[in-house]
Amino acid sequence: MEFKSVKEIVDFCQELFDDIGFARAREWKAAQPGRKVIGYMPVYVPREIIHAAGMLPLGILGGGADMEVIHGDAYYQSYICRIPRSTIEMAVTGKLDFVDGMVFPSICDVIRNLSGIWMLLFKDRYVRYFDAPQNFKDDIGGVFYSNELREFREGLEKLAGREITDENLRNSIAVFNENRRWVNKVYDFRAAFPWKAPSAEVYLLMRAGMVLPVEEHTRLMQAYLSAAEAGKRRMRDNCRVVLTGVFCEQPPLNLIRSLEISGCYIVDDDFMLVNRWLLGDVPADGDPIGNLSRAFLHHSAQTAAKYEPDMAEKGRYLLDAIRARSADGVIFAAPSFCDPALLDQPMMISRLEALKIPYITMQYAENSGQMQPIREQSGTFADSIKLWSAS
Amino acid sequence: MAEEKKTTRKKIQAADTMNRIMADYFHDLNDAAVNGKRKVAWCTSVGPAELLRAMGYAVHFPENHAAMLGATRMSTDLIPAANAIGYSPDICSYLTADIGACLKGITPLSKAYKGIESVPKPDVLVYNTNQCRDVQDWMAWYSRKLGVPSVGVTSPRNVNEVTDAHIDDVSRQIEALVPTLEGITGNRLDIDRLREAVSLSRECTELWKKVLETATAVPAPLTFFDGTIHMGPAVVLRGTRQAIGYYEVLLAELEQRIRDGVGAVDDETCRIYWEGMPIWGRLRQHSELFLQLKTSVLASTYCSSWIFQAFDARDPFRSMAKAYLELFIVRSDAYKETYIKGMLEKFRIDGIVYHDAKTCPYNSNNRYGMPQRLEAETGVPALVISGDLNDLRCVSDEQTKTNVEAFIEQIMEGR
Repeated sequence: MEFKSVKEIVDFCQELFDDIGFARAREWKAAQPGRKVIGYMPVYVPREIIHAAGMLPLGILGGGADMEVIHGDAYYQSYICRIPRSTIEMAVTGKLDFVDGMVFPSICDVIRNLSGIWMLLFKDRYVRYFDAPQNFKDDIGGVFYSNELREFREGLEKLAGREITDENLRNSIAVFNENRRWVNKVYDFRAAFPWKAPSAEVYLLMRAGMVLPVEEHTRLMQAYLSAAEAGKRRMRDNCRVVLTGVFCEQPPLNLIRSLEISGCYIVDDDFMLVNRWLLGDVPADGDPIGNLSRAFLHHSAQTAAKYEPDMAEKGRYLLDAIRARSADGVIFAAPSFCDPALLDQPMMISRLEALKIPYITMQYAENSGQMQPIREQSGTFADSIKLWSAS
Repeated sequence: MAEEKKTTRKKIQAADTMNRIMADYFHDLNDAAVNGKRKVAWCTSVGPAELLRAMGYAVHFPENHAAMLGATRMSTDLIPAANAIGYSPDICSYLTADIGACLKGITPLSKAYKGIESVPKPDVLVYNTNQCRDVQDWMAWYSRKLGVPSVGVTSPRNVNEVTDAHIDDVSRQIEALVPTLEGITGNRLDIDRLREAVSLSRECTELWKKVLETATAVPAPLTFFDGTIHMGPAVVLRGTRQAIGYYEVLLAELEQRIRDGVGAVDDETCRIYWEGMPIWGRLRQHSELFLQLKTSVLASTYCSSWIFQAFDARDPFRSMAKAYLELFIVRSDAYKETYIKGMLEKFRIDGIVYHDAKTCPYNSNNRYGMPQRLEAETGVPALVISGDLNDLRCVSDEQTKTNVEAFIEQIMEGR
C-alpha cells in the first residue's frame, strides 16, 4: 500500500482504530490456509515468538469509547476497571472469534483473572497467562523467565503444528528490532517537532502496530515520518508534557486530542509499551531465548508494571524522559481502579516534588465522555506552566 | 422479614489465653524495638516469617496492624491522610490506613497495650507478592520513609498446579534474602533453627486446620467471625511454640462443644460460607446479624488461607516456597472453583456470601463470574455484598442487612 500524505496515513490508521471487528487481521488470516492469530493484552509479551511461529500478534486494548458493554458487566462487579469488561464483551459477541489464542501478561490481578475466565469460557482455544518475573537477577528471575519463554514457544509450536527454530526466532528478533527503531524515531521526531506530529496521530500510528503485521507497520511509520517531516504545520505556544499511567486501559482518543488542544504537547508517553518495552536492539545472533530474557531483565522500560527494588532508582526512567524530552511537566493519567498506575503514582510524585517539576493527576475510563473538565484541568496546567515556570 | 430478637454471642473461653499471648507478643516486639536487643523485621502476612524467626528477628506484620486499624474503626479517619499524599481511594485500604496511621503517628497498639507508644521501628522490610503486588509498594513507601531496606519475594501468580519451576523460582528468591538478613543481624543463619521454625509452623498449621474443621460439625462450634479473631496467633506467631500451645487449648474447647452439642449459633438452621475479606469494622454487627437469623457463617477462604501443609523441616527452603505458592490467592480460577466446591461439600454449606471489597480486587473473587459459575454447578445460592475491608465509607449497613435477610429467607423457603 502506497501512502502519499500524512492525511492518507492517518485516515488509514483511524480506520483500523475504529474497526473493532478486526477486518484487517481477519483478511490476513484468510489470505493463506493455516494462518493463525494470537491476541495479547497490555503491557508486554515477546511478540517475536508469535511472529517466529508464522502467526500474527494482535494487540487487544479493550473495546474503546463507543462500544456498548452489555454482557461484560454481567461478568464483572462494579469496582474494577473497564478494559476486562469490554474485552470479554468483544469475545462473547464474536468479535474475537477468529483469534486462535490469547496471551495475558502479568500486569495486574484483573488481567490475571481475565485469563482465568478465558480458560473457562473458551476451552478449545490456546490461552496463556504469561507470568513475567519481578526479580531481575539472571540466576533467579532469569531462570524463571527463560522457562516461561520456552513454555510459550512450546505452546505455540503445538498450535502451529511445527517447530519454531532458533533461526526463525533470530529472524523475528531482527524484524522487531527494526520496528522498534522506527517506533523510537517517531517518538524522537514528535519530541523534537510536536506540532508536526500531533499526539493523536502518533497514537493512531502506534495503534496500527497492534493489528498490522510488523513489517507493514514499520513501512507505515517510515511513510509517516517522511510525510510529517515534509509537512508544514503551525507551531503552537504549548507547554511540553510527559503523559504517564496510560499503559493498559486506553483513554478515549478525544482525551489525547483534548490535552493538545488545551495547550499541552505530549512529548513522551507510555501508550502501547509493548512497542518500546525493550530499550534497544535484542542481539539477533546466538541463543534467542537467552537474548530475549536478558533484554527483558536488563534493558527494558522501568514503569509501573515493573518493580524497582532500588529506591534511589525509582522514578529515574520518568525523570530521564522529562530531561531527554525537555518536558515542562507531567500528566499522570490513570484508569479508574488501575492498581499498578495508582500505586506507582505517589512514589513518582514524591520524586517530582523534590525537583519542583509540575504535575497534575487525572483518572479516566476508556469510555469517559466529558472532555470539558479534562480540557479545563490540562489547560489550567499549561497556563500555570507558561505563567509561572522558571523556564 | 425475619423477626429481630436480642441475641448474645457465645464467648470462647480460650479468648483470654489468646489475649494474653497476643499481649506478650506485642510487648516482646516493642521491647525488641525500644531496647534494640533484637532486630525487627516487618513481614507481609505470607512472607518468609519462618526464616525471620530462625534468624532471631522480632517480626511485625503490617497487615495485622492494618486489620487492627479496621477492627477499631480508626481506619476510615486515617485513609484520607494517605489519599492526601497521592494514594488513590481505590487502592488497598490496608495500605492507605496503615500509611495514614504512620503519617499521623497513631496506632491502636498504644490504646490496647500499656507501655507501647508506637509500632516497632523496623530494621528491614520483607514482602512476598503471593497475595498481591500492593504489599511491595507498601513496603517500598516505608523503605523510603524510614530509610530501611525492603527485600522480598515476587511470586508467580495464577498457578494451576504448583510445579518444580515455580518452587525453584521462589526458593531461590528466599535463599537470596539470607545474605541481606544476615548482614543486618550480624549472625549467620543456623539451618537447624530454620528447620525448627518450619516444623513449628507446620504444627501450628495442622492445629489451626483442625480448629477450623470443627465447624464441619452440626451445629458448628465456631463461626467465621470467631475465626478472624482467633487466627491472630496463626498469623503473627507462626513458627513459635506459643501459637501451638494456644491452638491446643482452643481445639480442646471446641471439641468439647461438639461433644456437648453446643453450637456457636443457637438453633443453627442455615450454614454459610464467607468468600472474601472480613469487613473488620463490622465484625460484631455482622456476627449478630447472622446470629439473629439462626445462621452460622462457619467456613471461609480467608481463615483457611493460613493452612500451609507443605511445610517440611527436612527441606525448609523448598517447602516454604511450596507452602507460599499453594495459597488460594496465588492459584488459577479453575483451582479456586474446585477448592470452594470442596469446601461447600465438606462444611455442608447452604449458601455463599461473597464480600466485594472495593479496594481489594485480589480477595474479591465475585468479580470474575465465579458466583454464577459455582451456583450453576453446585446449586448453592450466592449473595454478593459490597463493602470494604477497612474503608467503612464503602459499607452500606442497611443494604447489607436487607440483602442478607432476604438471602437467608430465600434459602429457607427453598428447602
